[in-house]
Amino acid sequence: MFESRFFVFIRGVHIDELMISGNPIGQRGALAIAHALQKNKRVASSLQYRNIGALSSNMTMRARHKFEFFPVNQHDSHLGLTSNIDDEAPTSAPESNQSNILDKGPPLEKVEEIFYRGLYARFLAECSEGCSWPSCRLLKRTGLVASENNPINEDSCAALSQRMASVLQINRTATNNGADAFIAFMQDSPLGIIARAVHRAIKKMSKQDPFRPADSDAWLPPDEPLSAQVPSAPEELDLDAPLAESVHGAPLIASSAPQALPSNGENALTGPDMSAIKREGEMGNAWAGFWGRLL
Amino acid sequence: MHVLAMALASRGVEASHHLHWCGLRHGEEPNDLVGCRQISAHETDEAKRILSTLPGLIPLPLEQLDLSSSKISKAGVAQLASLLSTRTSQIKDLDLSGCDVRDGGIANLVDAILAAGNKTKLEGFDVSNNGITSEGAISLAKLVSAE
Repeated sequence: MFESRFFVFIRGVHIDELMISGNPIGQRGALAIAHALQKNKRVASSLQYRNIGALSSNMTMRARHKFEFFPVNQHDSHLGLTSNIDDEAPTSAPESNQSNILDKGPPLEKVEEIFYRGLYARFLAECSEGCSWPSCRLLKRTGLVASENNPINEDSCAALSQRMASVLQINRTATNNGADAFIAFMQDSPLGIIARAVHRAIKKMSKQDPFRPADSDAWLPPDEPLSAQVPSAPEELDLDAPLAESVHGAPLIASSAPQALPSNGENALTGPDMSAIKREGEMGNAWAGFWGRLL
Repeated sequence: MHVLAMALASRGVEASHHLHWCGLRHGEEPNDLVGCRQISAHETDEAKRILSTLPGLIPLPLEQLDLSSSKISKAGVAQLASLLSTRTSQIKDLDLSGCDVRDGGIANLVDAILAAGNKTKLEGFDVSNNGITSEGAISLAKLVSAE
């Protein structure tokens, strides 16, 4: 289920609120609206989600979200995904670079690219204080929870991790403006979960980040304490409750114990030996190999 | 006597900013709506009655129309679209949540709003819980992206 509130200015029409909660608009619909908001440069847009019912996975996303569309480019923006902030108009209009998406419908590759770039950057921004799974702040923000139909398990971790790594390597120069697609994609994702393995691996990747710009401060989280950014969760959702042991009891793919790989000196925790990589173009392959072996 | 779940608020221009609710009893005519700024109806029959009557009462000072949880037929959607497309429509807030409007109805309503162009006063549009799929969302995206 889906609730959103847009602040838009169109054709002389001034629509303050557009509520579309509880409609199975799906990934394509959500993206269409999100990109339409981006397309309209005059839009001061905000978007709140609530009760995003998974269309394919029966997951429920109960947290409320707001997307802010910032001018973004590859390197200089943390994603505009904030949570549970009501009725504060963003200060800047978007610079759309995806104006054709609405007309043609977003290709899956684009969706994935946007999503994973967003997820990736978000992890970089949010995981600096260390992994605290299952009380993951990102998990809290998205409201993603495990359920009987959506267990967190090794298969989902592996598949999501592999796909994520693959897309990131292929689309390493793509935009990191994935906030708008993040939730939309997640609700339709067959996996529908942020995997623990990805979480841990990304944390490690953030230290040796092939995508990290020279000015790496741009990727750092804001100075403001995260607790100040995240209002309390909806009452009906106990985000702090540990997930079922049957779900989380499975061994970690990237466990806390080092898992040295015998052939090339890599470590499952630290990734490939970056010092051995001389040319930038080799990084992708190196990471892909790392992911493959990790999984 | 069955009290219809239609509530009227701020009857008359003079009382337009003073919210109070009253019921329209069965048998009362929607002509009584003339002068109303705010209407709420949450039952299908009442919504249909209102929708069938409103276009004939244009211009209306009606600013808020809440038909939530009413099952609006295609005809009702068409009537509402007709109302919205008129450049004299004063409706600012339209609540159609839970009205089973669906994609086709949404498309009609969006077209009507766009047809009114900069004359429309619509500011709030609630179409939650209407079984809108991606097609309906794309219609809404047209509304959002139109310049």
